[in-house]
Amino acid sequence: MASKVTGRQATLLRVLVLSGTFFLAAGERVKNKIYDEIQGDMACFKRFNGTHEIGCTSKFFGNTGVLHVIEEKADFDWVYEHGPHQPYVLAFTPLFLTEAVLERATDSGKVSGVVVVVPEDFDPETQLLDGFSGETECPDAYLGLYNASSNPDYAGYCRKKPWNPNGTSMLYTSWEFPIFLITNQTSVNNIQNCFEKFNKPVNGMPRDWPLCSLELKSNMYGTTNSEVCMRRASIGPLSTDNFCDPLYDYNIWGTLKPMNMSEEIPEKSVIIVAARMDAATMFDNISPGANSAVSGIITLMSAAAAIFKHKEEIINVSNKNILFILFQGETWGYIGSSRVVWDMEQGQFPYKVKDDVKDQIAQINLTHIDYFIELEQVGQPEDINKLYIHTDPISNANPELKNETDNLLNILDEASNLVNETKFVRVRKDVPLPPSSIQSFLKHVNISGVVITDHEGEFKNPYYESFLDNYRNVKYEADNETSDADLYHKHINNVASVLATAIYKLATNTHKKITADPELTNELLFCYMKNMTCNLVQEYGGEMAKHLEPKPAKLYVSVESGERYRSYVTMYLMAGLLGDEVERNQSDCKIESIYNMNHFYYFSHLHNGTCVQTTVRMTEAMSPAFLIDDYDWKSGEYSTWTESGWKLTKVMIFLRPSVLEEVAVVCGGVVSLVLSVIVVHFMNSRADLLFGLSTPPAAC
Amino acid sequence: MTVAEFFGCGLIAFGPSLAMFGLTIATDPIRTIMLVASAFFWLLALLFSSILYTAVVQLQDYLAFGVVFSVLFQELFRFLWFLLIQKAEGGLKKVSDGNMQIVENKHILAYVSGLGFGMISGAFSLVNVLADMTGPGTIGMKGDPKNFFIASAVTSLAFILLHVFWGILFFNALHRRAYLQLAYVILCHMLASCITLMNPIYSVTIPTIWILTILSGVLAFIVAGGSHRTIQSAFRGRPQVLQVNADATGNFTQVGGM
Amino acid sequence: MDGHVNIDRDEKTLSVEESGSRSGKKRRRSQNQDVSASQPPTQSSRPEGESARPDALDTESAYNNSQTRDPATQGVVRRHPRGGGGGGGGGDAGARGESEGRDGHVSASTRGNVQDARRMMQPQSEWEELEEEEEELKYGAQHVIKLFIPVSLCMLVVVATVSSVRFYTQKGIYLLYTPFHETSPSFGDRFFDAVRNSLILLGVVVVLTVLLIILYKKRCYKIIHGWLLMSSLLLLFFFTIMYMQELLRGYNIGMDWITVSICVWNFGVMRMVSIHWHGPLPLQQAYLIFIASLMSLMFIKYLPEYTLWMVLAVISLWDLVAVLCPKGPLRILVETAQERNEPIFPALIYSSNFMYSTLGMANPDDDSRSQGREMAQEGTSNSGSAASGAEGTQRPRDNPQRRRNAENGHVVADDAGFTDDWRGQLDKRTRQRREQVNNFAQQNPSNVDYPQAHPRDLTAEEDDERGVKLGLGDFIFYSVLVGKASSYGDWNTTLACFIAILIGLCLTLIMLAIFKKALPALPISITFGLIFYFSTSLLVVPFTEKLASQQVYI
Repeated sequence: MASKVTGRQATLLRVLVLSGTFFLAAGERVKNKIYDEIQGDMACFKRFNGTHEIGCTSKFFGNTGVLHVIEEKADFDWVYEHGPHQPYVLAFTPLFLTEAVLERATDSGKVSGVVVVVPEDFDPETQLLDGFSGETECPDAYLGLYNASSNPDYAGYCRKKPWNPNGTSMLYTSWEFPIFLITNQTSVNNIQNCFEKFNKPVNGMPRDWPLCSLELKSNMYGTTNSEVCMRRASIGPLSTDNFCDPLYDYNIWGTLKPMNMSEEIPEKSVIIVAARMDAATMFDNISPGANSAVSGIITLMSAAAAIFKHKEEIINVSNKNILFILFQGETWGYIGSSRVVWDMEQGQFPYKVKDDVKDQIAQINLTHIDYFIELEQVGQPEDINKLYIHTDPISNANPELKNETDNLLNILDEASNLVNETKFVRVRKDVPLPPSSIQSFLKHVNISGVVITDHEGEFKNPYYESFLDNYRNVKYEADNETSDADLYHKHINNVASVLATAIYKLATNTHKKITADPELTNELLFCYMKNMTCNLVQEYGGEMAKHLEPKPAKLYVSVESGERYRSYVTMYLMAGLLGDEVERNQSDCKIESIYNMNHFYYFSHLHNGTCVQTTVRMTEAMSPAFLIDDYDWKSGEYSTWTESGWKLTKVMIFLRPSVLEEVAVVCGGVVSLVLSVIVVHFMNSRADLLFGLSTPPAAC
Repeated sequence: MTVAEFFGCGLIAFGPSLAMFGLTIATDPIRTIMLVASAFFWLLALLFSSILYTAVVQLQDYLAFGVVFSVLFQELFRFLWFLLIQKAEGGLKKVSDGNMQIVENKHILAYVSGLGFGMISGAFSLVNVLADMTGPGTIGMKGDPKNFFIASAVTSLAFILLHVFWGILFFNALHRRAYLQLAYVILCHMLASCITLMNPIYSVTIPTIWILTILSGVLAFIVAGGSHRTIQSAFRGRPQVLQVNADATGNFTQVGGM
Repeated sequence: MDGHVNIDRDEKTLSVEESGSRSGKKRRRSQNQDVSASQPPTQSSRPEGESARPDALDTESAYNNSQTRDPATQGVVRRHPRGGGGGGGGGDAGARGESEGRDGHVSASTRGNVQDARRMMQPQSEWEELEEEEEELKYGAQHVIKLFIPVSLCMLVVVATVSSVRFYTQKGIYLLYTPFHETSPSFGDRFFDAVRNSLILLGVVVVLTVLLIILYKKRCYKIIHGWLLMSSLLLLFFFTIMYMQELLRGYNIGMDWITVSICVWNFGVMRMVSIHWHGPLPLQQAYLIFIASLMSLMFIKYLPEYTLWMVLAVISLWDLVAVLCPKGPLRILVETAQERNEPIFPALIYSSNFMYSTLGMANPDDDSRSQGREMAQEGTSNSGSAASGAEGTQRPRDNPQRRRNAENGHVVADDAGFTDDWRGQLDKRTRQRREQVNNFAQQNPSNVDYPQAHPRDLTAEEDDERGVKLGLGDFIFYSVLVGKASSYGDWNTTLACFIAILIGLCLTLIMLAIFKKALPALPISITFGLIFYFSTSLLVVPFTEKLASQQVYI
């Protein structure tokens, strides 16, 4: 439900369905005998940046084609060389989802669409040995710190040693036909059965009409690039559909202690602990990002919860503050982090100064930042006890900064020793940072920061930014929130513990072993990886929880009017973890102004109603490119990604008759009409003769 | 695309009734109104049968029940419509001033009413099926017979024609108090409707229905005053026109016997 | 068809003669009544020349049929003061013309003769006993069809658009007048919302109507005129652009703004000219139908689900009150208009014969006054053209127009019938009509539209040789009902509503003939429509769908 239009459409449909059930008793229309609707919510859709378009679109009225299920490589050749019933819609498992296959399909000109079916027994680990990632080999390199213009020394590093060797760039290619992902088993079986019954060639000989066909509808409104597309949107005054929208969501963050504008924030007093909130795939409605995002999010939340238990100690002994932040849209050119940096530079983070608000939150700027600790993918270490710490070679060339960074590294080491579960290994100093949010900061300010990951060189995650990056990928095995058997949550919890211990030391300069709560970690993991309707979300999610489905969290960043329930739920969870319970009833549990330093949230399902006071809030995460007047779309300074609008995505399966049959029917109709016109005219004009001789019937 | 099927089946089913409407009804406002009004009566009949069908919840799975009663309702409303026309005959005469055949030749009114019944019943049975045909697909994926559409169209056509003939026979029967004819109409309608319960065994149902159609057509033709001799003279054409004209003033009905 | 036509005509001649006795009777009788009720016959002797119009064609045609016979006069004169009812010789001729179908004015003179002959044959003794009611019925038959066609066309446009362009069935944005958006899942709440919405909407309608009447009473013509112009401008340009845009979008056709603006500009300006000034009748009718369709599409799109149904019900009730109540606003409006001998807002009433197009301001000249009134009442300018030698400026369009009508399919029919016998009588007729109008004004307010684009109203007032009039509001709400029914994708329901509305319209016209006063056109039709919509979608459709899917025929 990513697009604006789609979002609105869905509610609309629901309304229609509701009213439809009242107004029209559900009937047995013949339509239902002709068509079967197949899961069609996971369509590849279009996105744009300042210069290009990526993704796929169908034609306006949809693409139809004869279904051909590919079981082995030879089937492709059959379609391209022998298949007489073009155009075809190819159906295959992710095994064949490679650039080469798609390119050949494009070149053949015989393919009008592709559906990627994922049968239940499809096991990526044994079948998809090469891994699969739609991302490029160097994710976000263009908008990162190490691009060719600013840091030529390191710009080439990734090209030599790609971070994401499985990257196919498929996500960043513009395809000529629609591509759908189908995971629903009924739909998968439907396709398989229909193919075998009507279409499967017998001994290599094609079958005759009627043939099983698919119609793929995913027409995108936008074209060309963000610049053109945004410009068009501003032309049509009566336009109700949007051509494209900037990617948009909210950064979610909170501080350990509230920052009142009346108290000045000392320089270098804010320790930022960051992770990224979003993941992406080629397809709408599925973006599990188990390792690429969830591992970091949960580690951060667990650590935050653990530290918050020691809030008083820290506040009492230290003037340092800790800011936990989840950045949105990092996949698409560091949208969230670049926006925070931009706001800080403008002196408007989190908000511009308001004149008449009491207890207003203080503005944080770049000089307030002390340390920056970022959690990237931390879930798939080769050795379960070993994580890697990356630092930036450029900023650390400055000796002063290097000292600070070394201090940070030492503290992390000490913390890991103290917790004694997870070891941190420092990556070679001349290796640039992997794709990470801190790059946005380092582009503008020199701060000492580290990025904690599970990989030293290339990603350990074979399915980076793909729909396969799910709980199976990270081997998260818990079947419910309380399952203890699972090892994965223990690993994440250990990382959180080390992190919490290190942060405590950074803030207070004293060592204390802090242990994160493994149960909490497990519950959080279960929610995000498997089921967003879990207990925790029910307790904290409030109204938003009702909109979530019992599926893994969808972590795609979406657009302004897109679906954002998981962001709200995440904010509420953060609020619950980083908040103090206060004695207020529901009606008092609210804020006067969003500019207040403290926010209040009421959780009606938590202990029969709990009011929480916290600093957690959301701030807009939309690329500064859309806020700067006359921004040069091609400059590459900020993310310019926009998403196309569309109306609906839909897949239908049905039989198509032969043209001959259709012609025959039409001829029959025309004959029927002509014949009857002649007969009727004859009878009408000769009526007197035909009937006239009879005596008129007696009138009553 | 199967817009072709849409047009094909649509023309097969409604081609004859369109021709009848265009050539014989649309030119005369009174006939048009009568056509719409009789269609309205058919609607009422359908409404009552649907109410019955909905009300008797236990029997909703047995379509035969609904069919039988719906046939009875239709014939009842045909009768009511006949009564109404009788009542309104005086008014009708005034209305049809200058075009007296509609009053003088009862068959015209019968034909118009029959066509009204036929067109609306044909529309109700086929129009949604036609609308569903317009997509890219055809039927058959779920084990339905491949010639479902054609069979629907052909059967609809038969029923439209049947209604026309029944209209003529029914009205004639009432006028002449020929109750055998009346019984024939009702039984024929019942038989035709009930035989369709056997669908999709088209090899049985369609021939049966068409035999009934042709039989009813012939009967209606005879009742309306036709015979093989009139057909011959009609083919021979003009010579007798003047004489005929004088004989049967304004009697240029067009009862359709296809 | 030619051979057929000939035979046909012969037959007709015969049959007409046969049946002539009765209708001729009627005619005489009504003539008598008319004469006694109105002007003394002496006044009818004004020379034809007086009506000389600038239009040569018309004069010519008048002389073509120069058998200025008495019977024809009767045809006209016999108009009974029942005004709204109409019916009589002219109607007769019309009916005949209609039944003759295609041969329209070609056969006019033949028919005229027949009439003539027939009338001559009538013995006076048979004159009594004629029920005018039946005359009206007859007269109704062809006029019913004349309303069926535009109403069906309007519905066709709406239904076609609704079922092919998704935009009009998408919800989300609503009118300002309907602040309750029926978002609650509970039926009760939504129903309550719908009631409140429709009451608000009704309030708006009532307020605007009253405002209009006040303006009209105070003779603020400029304001009214401006109001009307503004609303038609809005409708024309804004909604047309919107319609066009959605249509193009619905079919994915690209078009540049320049082309669009040229099209819309020409379309809109032409409409303004043809409706507010003058233009050929079919064009005016087409524009009115199109505007009604646009308006109903707006309602379908911008009213919440239940509200729309509720509004239909409420508006038809209001229609009943506004037209029939002695103090009903529409009634007052019409009466005032009649007192002042002014036509009522032309852009808001569909007339099957002629759309008079000028808002005639009060004119001191007696003749033109009466004419203005006639125009208001009968909505045809035929009579007007006769009377209005004085108002040369207004006239010229009438004649070519009528001629064109005469050459044009069904619209023709009664014109053709009219043409041949009206000429000689212009004058007399005019006077008589003036009288009639006066009488009529007292008893029969016609129902008018107010400038709100959705004003309903009935005005099914007919007149023998002139057409029936139906307020655009009626068109709009009929189409709203049918369009809304079709938006659920079920054609059976749509069909049922369509037939129910046509039958309702028929009944309204019959009642018009019986009661002989202006009636609201919405209540019967909309009630039928609503009944059939709900019963069909709830009861019939499950049954018919089951039948259709199992291929069982009844």
